[in-house]
Amino acid sequence: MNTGLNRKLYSFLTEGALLVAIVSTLIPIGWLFWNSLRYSRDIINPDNPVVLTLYNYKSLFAGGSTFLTLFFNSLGVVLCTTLLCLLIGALAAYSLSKFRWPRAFTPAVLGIALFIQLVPPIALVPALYLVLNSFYLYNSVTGLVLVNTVFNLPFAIFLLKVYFDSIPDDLKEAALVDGCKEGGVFWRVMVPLAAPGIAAVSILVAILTWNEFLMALSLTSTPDAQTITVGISSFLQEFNVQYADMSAASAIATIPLVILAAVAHRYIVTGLTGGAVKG
Amino acid sequence: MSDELRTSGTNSAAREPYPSHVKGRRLRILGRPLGFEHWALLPLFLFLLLFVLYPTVELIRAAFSTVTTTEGGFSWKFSGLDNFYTMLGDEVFRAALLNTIIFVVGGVALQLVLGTLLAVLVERSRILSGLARNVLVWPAIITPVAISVTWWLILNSEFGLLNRLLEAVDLPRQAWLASTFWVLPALILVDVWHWTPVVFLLVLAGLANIDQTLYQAARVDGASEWRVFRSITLPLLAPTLVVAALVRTVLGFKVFDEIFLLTKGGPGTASEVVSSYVRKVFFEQVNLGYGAFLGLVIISVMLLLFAAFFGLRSVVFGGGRTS
Repeated sequence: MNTGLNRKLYSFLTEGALLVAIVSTLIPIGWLFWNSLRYSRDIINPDNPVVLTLYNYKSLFAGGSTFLTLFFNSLGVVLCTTLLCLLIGALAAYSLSKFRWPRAFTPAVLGIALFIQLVPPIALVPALYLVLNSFYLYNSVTGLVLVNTVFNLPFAIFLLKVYFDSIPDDLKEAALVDGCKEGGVFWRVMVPLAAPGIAAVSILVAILTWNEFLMALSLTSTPDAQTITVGISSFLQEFNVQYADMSAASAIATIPLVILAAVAHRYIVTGLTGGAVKG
Repeated sequence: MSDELRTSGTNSAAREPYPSHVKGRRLRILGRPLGFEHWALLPLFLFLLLFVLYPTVELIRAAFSTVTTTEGGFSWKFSGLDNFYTMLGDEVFRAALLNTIIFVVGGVALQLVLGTLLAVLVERSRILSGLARNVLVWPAIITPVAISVTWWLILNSEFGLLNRLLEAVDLPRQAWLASTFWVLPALILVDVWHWTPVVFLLVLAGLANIDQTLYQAARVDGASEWRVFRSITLPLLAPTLVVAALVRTVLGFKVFDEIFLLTKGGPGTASEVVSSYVRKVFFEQVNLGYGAFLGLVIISVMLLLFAAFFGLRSVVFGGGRTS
């Protein structure tokens, strides 16, 4: 009797505490969306009557607005970075995982990848500026794609190598015996088998690139090449905060991520934990 | 990690030698004929050369130079340890370093406690488990810039949500982001909201690996819930928690977006962190040599931290885990 009551109390406390956690997670996000539906004058005057509007979203996407350019720049950077990371990362991870290299070689490559994860990106900004400048890629979407690729490659290689490691070597040998070339083994046998890993890497690289701010801020100078995060930051200027625009733009940046979290939760978890443990 | 690398090395050594159709080629790299595995690494190496090795060499060169900007480029003059002496006398950097340490230690400690608590609760929960597993991860993937805007709308002293709630219960408002006392706690709060999910996920994965029969045995023996947690869950989670702490510490040292957008390091230097300060040295003072030196110092600290971690790990966990 007593233990039964105890168990009920425990379970009540557990669910209660989780409810508090869920609500604390959702309130800030909800507050952002709530504000994105209000006029600037209502945001700064909380006592005004509640009027909800889609005006902020409309004005962001109105014809000739720079935000639309930034939005498509972000999409372009995300798409190209993800593809490039997958291509380079999968090839490298496969090579390290399924071929015989000298003893210290694989640890050395992974060590360099780890080093990239440790370096605070700000430290490399001036040198990256020099590199991009010498290829006439400063203030370009291409430049941002290359830089984002560098910072996401380590994660892609670590996670994909784990997936390739888990595929038995026999499959490769069998395909080679059947007359498949090395390239064919990679594309037709290994890549399809590593599909869950590739999905996890794509989703996480896409998210991290969509979220990237420091490089986009430092290596671009005009809206032609800037991304959505730089756009949002320009609304949050110390003496001239554009409350409504900034809220709506942040909400637009957040919506695809929340949808992704709900739909592709499994891959995000794999990416976040796998990348952290191996990285 | 090193264990895993070693095993993969021995595995590959046991593999069959090179397939016959590539054997005849003349060009050899690392003692092997040039083949698919070399081409497959080529793009990575080009990237590393151009975007990692070159910038790192430039960083080291700049760190020991005085760099001045010229038309479309920089000019370098070797200046030995000048930047080092500048750093010794730099009070802002000292403040930034101290703030970063407070920010990281405070944030990571809270994230570890909260993340573990949430993971244990989710494991036990029957009703909200599914929803919590999904929703509690959201902050970790939301755009940090959007998170900064969100928390600006909450912490803003004039019409922020927090002050309005405080006022509603007759507590005094605070200038959260403009007070030298409150600014760091406020930023730690934002960081805890933002990054507890990663600890939560790691601990959840760690909990799933714990043998359930251990719990049953303990309960049969009449152990209380707290005793089960303290004597079974926590010790078995220790390796997971150490990894979580390391991951969060590394990322914490890199913190930039939220600080840059919410406080710009202010008021004064109250929330200046190393990244935001290095950016100021680069872009506002245009002192590239000194900025590079500070960057190099931070990288060295991270490397030392990492070496210490692996050293400590082999001492603490080395005995039982030589799989």
